[in-house]
Amino acid sequence: MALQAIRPHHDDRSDDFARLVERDLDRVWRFLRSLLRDPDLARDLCHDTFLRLHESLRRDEIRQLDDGLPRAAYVFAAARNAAASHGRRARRQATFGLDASDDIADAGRTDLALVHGELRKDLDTALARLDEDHRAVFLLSEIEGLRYEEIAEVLDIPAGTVASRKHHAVQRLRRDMERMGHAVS
Amino acid sequence: MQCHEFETALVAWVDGELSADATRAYEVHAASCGACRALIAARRHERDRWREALRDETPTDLRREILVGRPSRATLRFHPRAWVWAAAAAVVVVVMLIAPWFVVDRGAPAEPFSRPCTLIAVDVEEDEGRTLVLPGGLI
Repeated sequence: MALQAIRPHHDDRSDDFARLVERDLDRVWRFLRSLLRDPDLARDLCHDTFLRLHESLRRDEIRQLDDGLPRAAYVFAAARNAAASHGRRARRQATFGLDASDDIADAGRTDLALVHGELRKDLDTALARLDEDHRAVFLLSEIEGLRYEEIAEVLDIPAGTVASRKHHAVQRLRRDMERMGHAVS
Repeated sequence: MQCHEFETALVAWVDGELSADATRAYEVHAASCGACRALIAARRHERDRWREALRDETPTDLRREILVGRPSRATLRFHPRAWVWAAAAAVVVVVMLIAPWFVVDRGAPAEPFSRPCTLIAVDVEEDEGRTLVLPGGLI
């Protein structure tokens, strides 16, 4: 499977997979890129996520492909698991982890600053200061618009914890953004 | 409801995550408190700005790669079957490299010596039952 990659065949499942990519690739990409703060790594793990989703489709594990909760939770859970697996491997190899050195974050930010401007650069800097648990909740809620119940399912934590993490993430980001001159008027 | 209670649950309220009872209490307080209404507006503005700033375009080639098929570096790096195929390929290459040393050319006629050789003349003399071979003479 590793060498054949994701190669859709002409059947209903490949149509399902194409729809899945069309609907969710942008969201998964955004989530992984901001969570990991490393575009190259996000790209690889995005690929891995859809490889797993393709396998899940083939085994009929994804039964609901509309915009309902099961699909969103399933897709983001696959992305989150890919990131977590990478984090565990990276920690074992003691090279770098999800909360990697500032050099890695800086490399991503330099590139992004050219594309998205000062606000994006500073928001990335502030996000990098959050721990990964708070960052994941913030991204899934604030950026992707998932409900707290959905996020609880994706991250396997209570919904109350989601609310608490979201609140603290917003407070921390607001404080950091204000220090960088981005106060909300 | 007091203003500090309102502020504590502001994020969840803007996200639409409060219970029906809490939502009613919020709405009652907001209707009578201009400062808290301003907090609501600020939070919504903040959320919209951050959401817009973090919007990312998926790299165009990534979508094509996922649909058409190209293994990711991570997949190649960690998938055990990739290592099996790599090991098998290495064995084949090694066999191909060393095989010519073991191939016998059965088409050529047999000869006593396959390579030129030099006869060395030696002297042989008997010494108490043992044969000594000395250089310098013919056999």
